[in-house]
Amino acid sequence: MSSSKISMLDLEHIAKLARINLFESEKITFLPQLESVLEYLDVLNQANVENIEPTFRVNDQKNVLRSDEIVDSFDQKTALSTAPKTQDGYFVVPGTIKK
Amino acid sequence: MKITPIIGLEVHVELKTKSKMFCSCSAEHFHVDPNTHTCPTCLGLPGALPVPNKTACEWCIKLGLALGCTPNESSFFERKNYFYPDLAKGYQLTQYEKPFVINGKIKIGDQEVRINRAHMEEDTGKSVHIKDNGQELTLIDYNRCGVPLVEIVSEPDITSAQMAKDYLLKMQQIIRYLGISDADIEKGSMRCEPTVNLKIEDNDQVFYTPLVEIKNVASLTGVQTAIDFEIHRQTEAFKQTGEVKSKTNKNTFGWDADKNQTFLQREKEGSSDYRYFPEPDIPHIEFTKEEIEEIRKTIPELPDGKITRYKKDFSLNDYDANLLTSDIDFSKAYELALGQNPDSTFAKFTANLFIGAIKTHLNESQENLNIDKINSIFFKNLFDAVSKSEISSTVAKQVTIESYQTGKDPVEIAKSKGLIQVSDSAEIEKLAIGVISQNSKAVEDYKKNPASIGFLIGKLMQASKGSANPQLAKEILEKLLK
Amino acid sequence: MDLKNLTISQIQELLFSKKVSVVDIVNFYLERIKKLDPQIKAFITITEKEALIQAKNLDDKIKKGDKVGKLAGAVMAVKDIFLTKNIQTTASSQVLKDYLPQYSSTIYQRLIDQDAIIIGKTNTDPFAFGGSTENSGFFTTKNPWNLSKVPGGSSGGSAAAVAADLCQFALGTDTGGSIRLPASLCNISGLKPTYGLNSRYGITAMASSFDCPGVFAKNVEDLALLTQFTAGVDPKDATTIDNPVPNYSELLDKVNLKGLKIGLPKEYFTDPINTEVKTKVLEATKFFESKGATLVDISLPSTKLGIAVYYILVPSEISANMARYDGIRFGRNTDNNPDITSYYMNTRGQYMEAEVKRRILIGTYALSSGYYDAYYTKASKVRTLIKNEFINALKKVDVILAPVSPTTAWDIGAKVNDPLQMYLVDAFTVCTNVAGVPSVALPCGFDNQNLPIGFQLIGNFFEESKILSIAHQYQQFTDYHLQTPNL
Repeated sequence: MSSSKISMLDLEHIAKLARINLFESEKITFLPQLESVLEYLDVLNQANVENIEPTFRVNDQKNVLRSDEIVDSFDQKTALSTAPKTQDGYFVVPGTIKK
Repeated sequence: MKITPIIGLEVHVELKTKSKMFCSCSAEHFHVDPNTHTCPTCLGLPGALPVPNKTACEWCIKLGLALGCTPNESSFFERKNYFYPDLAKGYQLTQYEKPFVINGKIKIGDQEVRINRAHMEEDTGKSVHIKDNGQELTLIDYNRCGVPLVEIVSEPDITSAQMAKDYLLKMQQIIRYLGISDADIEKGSMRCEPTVNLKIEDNDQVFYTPLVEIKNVASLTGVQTAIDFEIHRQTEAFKQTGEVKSKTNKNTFGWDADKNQTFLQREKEGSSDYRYFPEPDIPHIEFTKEEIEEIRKTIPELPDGKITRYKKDFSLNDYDANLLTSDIDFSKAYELALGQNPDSTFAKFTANLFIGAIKTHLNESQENLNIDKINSIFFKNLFDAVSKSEISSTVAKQVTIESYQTGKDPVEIAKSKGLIQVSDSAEIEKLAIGVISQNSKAVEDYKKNPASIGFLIGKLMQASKGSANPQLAKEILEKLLK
Repeated sequence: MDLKNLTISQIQELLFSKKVSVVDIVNFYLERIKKLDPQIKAFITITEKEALIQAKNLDDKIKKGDKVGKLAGAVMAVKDIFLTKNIQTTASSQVLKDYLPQYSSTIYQRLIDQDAIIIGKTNTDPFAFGGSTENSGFFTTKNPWNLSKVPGGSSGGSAAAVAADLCQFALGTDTGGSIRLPASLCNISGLKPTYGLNSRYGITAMASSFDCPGVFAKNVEDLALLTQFTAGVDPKDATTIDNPVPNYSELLDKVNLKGLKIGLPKEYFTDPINTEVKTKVLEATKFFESKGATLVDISLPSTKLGIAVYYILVPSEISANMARYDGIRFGRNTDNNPDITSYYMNTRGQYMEAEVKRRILIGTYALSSGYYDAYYTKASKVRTLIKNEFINALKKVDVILAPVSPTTAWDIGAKVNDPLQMYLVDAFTVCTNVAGVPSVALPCGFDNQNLPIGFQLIGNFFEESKILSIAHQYQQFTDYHLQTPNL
């Protein structure tokens, strides 16, 4: 891992990937902060992980499955009750296709 | 210049489990009021967690086994991250590294298409696009969000649009045999995304055109037309630009079914970086060898096996065997009608009735087959009557349909309608004498030209109201006119 | 009647001997909240109406002689990342302001089913991202021991509420120290259980493979009682373990301190530890030695990698867990967006707090193509090392004793501009979350500014009864946990 971890372009790219609009002031404060965090993470280079399996979950559980049975759903009103915008039983967002 | 299309298919199949993949909401979403089959999990509410549906996992493995795949010893789910309003959680649960099953194959005629994998994932919600006061809006219904989907990925072994269509039909047939999905392309419970490019051989040089993935194909003919269009488009594009495949020039094209053409879809920004990582909310899934064998036992005899058996045991021809096995319920009804250890004459006789009578009737009436109406004894009786020339094959078809509709013995139906063939020589001779005396002109003709006896046979059949055995009638007429 | 500083069993004794009613108890805490919370700011929502209705119903049941739950008379504060049906749940973020959930979290509901009463929802760092409550989208909670200091976090509101006696116990979550750190800085007891003991269902997810909901109380005895009801398999959380739940209260005296082998990991008694903290924690070890326990020096060499592992894996999981906050099905949204991409970007950009954004960005970066192996895969492998070191150490010793926080409570504002310094406050707590093992934090003294110091006892997987028993016996002979702030 090199010394310059993250550029302004990288920051803007990941912000877009994460769908987060950053204010200009945030970009300026975040960049050195992320840089120093990423630099700190280099400490992992010290670790020897040859032949080590990764751990994704700490418990050795397996096969936690449910049987195929229906349980009552929310009624439509409840499902929509927390939405900022609804119409005719649907959630509403700006058009996702350009005609 | 020699052009060989290279086509791979990704097929998505919606399983018809009762409940969704990761929650207990009903998986029914066709003609259901919007947002009535939702809960914290499939709405992606804060704090909600997924718990996988066991039946769905088993069905995915069952399909894989039916396609000759090998199950992975250990599988897990991963999060595929992207933003789209129909994806409630902002990530789709799918299997990337360790799908349930890998490395299968499917036979298309005498060719083979290798299956790379079949994995389990979840469907997204449905979007409805409207215009409201001049504003484009999208309405979202999450009833379909979280319905179990199996994705089957083929290797690029398909070489024509027709073969792609055959592959889909075969896949659909197998899925329906397994009873795990309606696999209805028009209704969207089976969806297909072809990836197409071309191998172009020109003067000892080989070129590969850029890969194109075609989306939004919503019918079987659409798949065929879209692939053909794309083959043509890529051929022309290569001739003009000479552009060849690289790591970065794979494109996504949409299919416009109205204009019958593909069009370049602008890649959603960054959508190719899905940032997959193992789903921490769901422990690994490992089916034991015994469990896999239990699943294997639930797989019925598949079409390929049935066709081979029908041809071998019943001496049926390829065409008949294919027709009888096209639908598992139809073949079940056929086998029910045959009863135990049928001989090949009876099997062939029954096959003709199924294809010529029952299938025709079902097609005309648009009814679904009702297997409860199939009675093996009736077919046996009918076979005996035809063998003894009591019933003609035309009548047999007629009474088979009536028997299917009414549940009565077809031979009894024939009797009650006076459709039993008369094979009593004295009776026929009496009628023949009458016919000869009333048709002197035709008798004259016969004497000049013996081939014209058909007219007299016809008159005799008319007089017997169709019940005379036509062969016997001919013999008796010839004897009398000697 | 003075109900100050009572534990659950003490208050239940008064209740069942009819010296007080549940309404009296609730009113006592409501009055304290009204008097003290304007300074401490532990609560985002005070559920006065719900609490009084619950109390009245419970009094009626008691009057009629009906059976009541095992937590009747116990009044709780709930960290605001636990969903509470029809009670505002903000996760201390502007994103969820005014959000009224359609369902309740499992362990909150289990406590309600035992007739515990909810008095309010407590402040935290937004979505529990932080170690001081200073990242909260609403306000910073003050440490009841010194109002210019942080209470620790992220469950700082819950810890402060218990420490200031604004409730009897509180619910929190511990992803990297968020129960133990504030418990330690506020002089109360807190349990981070084994991953998978307490259901995560209905709690806004931070890092799904790390998050451990748990309880704060005034002593270990109450922790044991409460864990009895929070623990156990939840069919809605596939990572909960289907083990029988031991009777923690009955097992409190079970472990014999004589002959007990207590491991002291050298990595936890070195830099960045503050001298006073080290001295007090070592005093606690002397107590156990005096009771016949053996102190064993051990090493957990990968401890120094804990923060790095944590700040790769946790933000990675966060980046996915936070994707659902898009202002479509719930939460606030922004208007006048020409297309769906700007709807997402503006909504998320507008309401997410800086720390929320930072962690999503770090996680998105770590998972994005080209970096995945260097960050996510590598960290997941080091996670294995850290977990194995605990397992191996716990073969040699019965329990591990360590400080919780390298320092006592720091000044509000001291670390807000340096996220990395803020991350390092978890240096002694994150590794247990990386590994998944349980740890109980409890008070063991004060520094020269009279700020509390705590230590933790770390056990093997599902050894809650063992560490609670050891901690309980410590509290039988010491009175640090009985000290309360002057308010």
